Amino acid sequence: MRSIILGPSLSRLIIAIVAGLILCSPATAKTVGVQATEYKEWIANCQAHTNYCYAVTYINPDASSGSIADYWLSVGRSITGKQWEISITTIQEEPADGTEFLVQADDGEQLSFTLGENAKAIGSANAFYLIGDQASTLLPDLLSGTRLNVEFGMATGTNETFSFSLAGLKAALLWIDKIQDRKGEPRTAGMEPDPDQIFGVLAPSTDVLPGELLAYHSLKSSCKPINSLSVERSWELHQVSYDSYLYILSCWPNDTNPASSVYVYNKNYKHYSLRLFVDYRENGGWSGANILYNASFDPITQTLSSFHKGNDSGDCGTIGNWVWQDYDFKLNAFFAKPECGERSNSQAGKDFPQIYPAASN
Amino acid sequence: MRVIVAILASLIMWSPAAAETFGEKRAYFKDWLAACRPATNYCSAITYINPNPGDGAVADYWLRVGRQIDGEQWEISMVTIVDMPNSSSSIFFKTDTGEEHWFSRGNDIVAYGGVNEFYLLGHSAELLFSEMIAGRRLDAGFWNDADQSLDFTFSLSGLSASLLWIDENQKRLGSPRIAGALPINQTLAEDRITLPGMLSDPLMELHAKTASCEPLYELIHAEDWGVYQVNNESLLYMIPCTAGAYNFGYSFYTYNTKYDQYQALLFADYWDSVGWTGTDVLINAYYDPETRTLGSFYKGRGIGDCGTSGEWRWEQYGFKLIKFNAKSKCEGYSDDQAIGEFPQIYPPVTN
Repeated sequence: MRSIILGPSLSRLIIAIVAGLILCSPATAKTVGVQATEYKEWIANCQAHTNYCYAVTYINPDASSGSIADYWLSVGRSITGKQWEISITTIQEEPADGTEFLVQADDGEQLSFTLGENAKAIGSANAFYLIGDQASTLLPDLLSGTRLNVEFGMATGTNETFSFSLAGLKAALLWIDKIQDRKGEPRTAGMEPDPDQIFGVLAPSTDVLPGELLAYHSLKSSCKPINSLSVERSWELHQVSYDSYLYILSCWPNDTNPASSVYVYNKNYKHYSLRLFVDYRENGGWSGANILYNASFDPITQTLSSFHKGNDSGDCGTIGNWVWQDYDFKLNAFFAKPECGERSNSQAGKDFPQIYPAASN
Repeated sequence: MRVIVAILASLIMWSPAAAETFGEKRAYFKDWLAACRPATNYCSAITYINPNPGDGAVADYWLRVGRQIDGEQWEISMVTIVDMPNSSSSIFFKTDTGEEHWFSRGNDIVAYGGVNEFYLLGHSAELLFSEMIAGRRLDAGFWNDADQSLDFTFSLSGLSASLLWIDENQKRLGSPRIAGALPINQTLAEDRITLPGMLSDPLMELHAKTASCEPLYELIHAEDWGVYQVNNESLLYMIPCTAGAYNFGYSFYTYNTKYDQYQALLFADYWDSVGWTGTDVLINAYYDPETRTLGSFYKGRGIGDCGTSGEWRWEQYGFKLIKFNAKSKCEGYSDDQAIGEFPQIYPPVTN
């Protein structure tokens, strides 16, 4: 499963990811259509269609910004991979170009990873894979340590520091060994990962939207023509299964509620389909929706999220998340808060009552 | 203002004095009169503003809360005599202690029985009713044809006692105080829009955009389209969309006559496999103009022992999902299962 995010600006990307990762909490990750289990501070997952497995831990999960977490640390391995792959995903702050990630497990050796050299963004612009000899040294430190301290320089000129717990990592990797039927294999790291191993093989063009989709979008949606939109990032493409691809096309820009149309392309049938979803109003109940607001897709959890803000601050509205399952998106959870509060940004998306699954179900 | 004179004649029979001539059982409770008709056991409580104004009218305005003997809900209606709200007026109500509730004429405040007898419908009516029972007075207002604002106040003093008296007479003490459903045995009395005899080009262009639909000319039931009035300025179009052996799909559109604007309608759908989702087509759909209710019945297979069924009712902002049932497994009929009778998904069934 490859995640292709168009638009070169990392900051824009991070904002988009943060906006979109609402409710993709660690607990939610467990419910995705993959095998998953928890070990203390770590969650171990195996993707169904790639057999890529990884263990992940979060800093500040369910952050007040609405994101899944401020930072993630992941250690993963493909089913046929010779080595483990270590990556740090940054959401809260943007690393400066060329900055160094300084990492240190407990009182061990401080290791340095330079952005773009031995800390490479692969798959998405804020997932940095640590490679080379330093990564090779780091993995045993992670397995024997209790905490990993991380520091990097931000675009603002100041440094960001944070610390991951390592409690549960060893058990998570053992679980992955078992799932991948590779018990007893060496704990080595440092090779540059093959994106196709991690994300699956991507078939459609990632540079331009297919003409057929553009025509379909023009015919079947009420959206503004995509080439008339003055937005930096007008579409996204993700692979969601071996033969299905997700296109999220900007429908019309809006500061509070940018709207998107969602299409699924099946490469076997060479067929695009507009996906329809639901929204919920207290007075109107469930209704159909052909656009999502503040839509985003988390390739790790295969979760499509929307946040229809009731006002600028987003302290009311509706939130939905759908998980890709087999051939379509399945509604995982839906939340609705009709009453707007004091327009506090810190309350954006928080404490929305759950509508689905209903408590009584 | 006196356009109502013609209506007055028909209303004479509804006055308290006239009610007596039918042998009604009645009782006064402060500002309210409770009465039950012996023939039907329909009971109502009424209060008046400016009763017997001297021009032959019963009053300037009435407020009535009534219930059929077997009615599940109370019916709240307001009769306007001294003046009428214009056809698209918003009409507000607010009790001394409650919220302000705005009703939209033709949508959730609709004339039934007589052109000036407006029934309050939907969720707002339900909320308002509970506030009326707890309140002392009810402010109301609307805009007339000259766009003048008219405000007036009903007393609520005596309403609760009247309802209890009705409970007692209908032998339904302890029954719930809910309102908002369509009135029973009443005919829609709003102005009629002339229904078009053919589908317009803009509508057909919009229909072509509906993702699920096949070209109309390819459908065996292509001629089976319908158009209905859903409120005082909107039409509902039901256009064939898909065809199968036993499932015939329709897509739905509203047309606003005031703004000359079409809109495609989307609905919620449910499958056990994906949960709630959206749809632009309703299968084996039907529409009842009297109750403004839309229904669908998708058959999972020909005998209809599995599938989905939904029911929507037109309210203030469009069709509101009232009920949805679904059964994924096709396993024949159980002894007590009727056609299309599937487990209820919405509203969620509480144990």
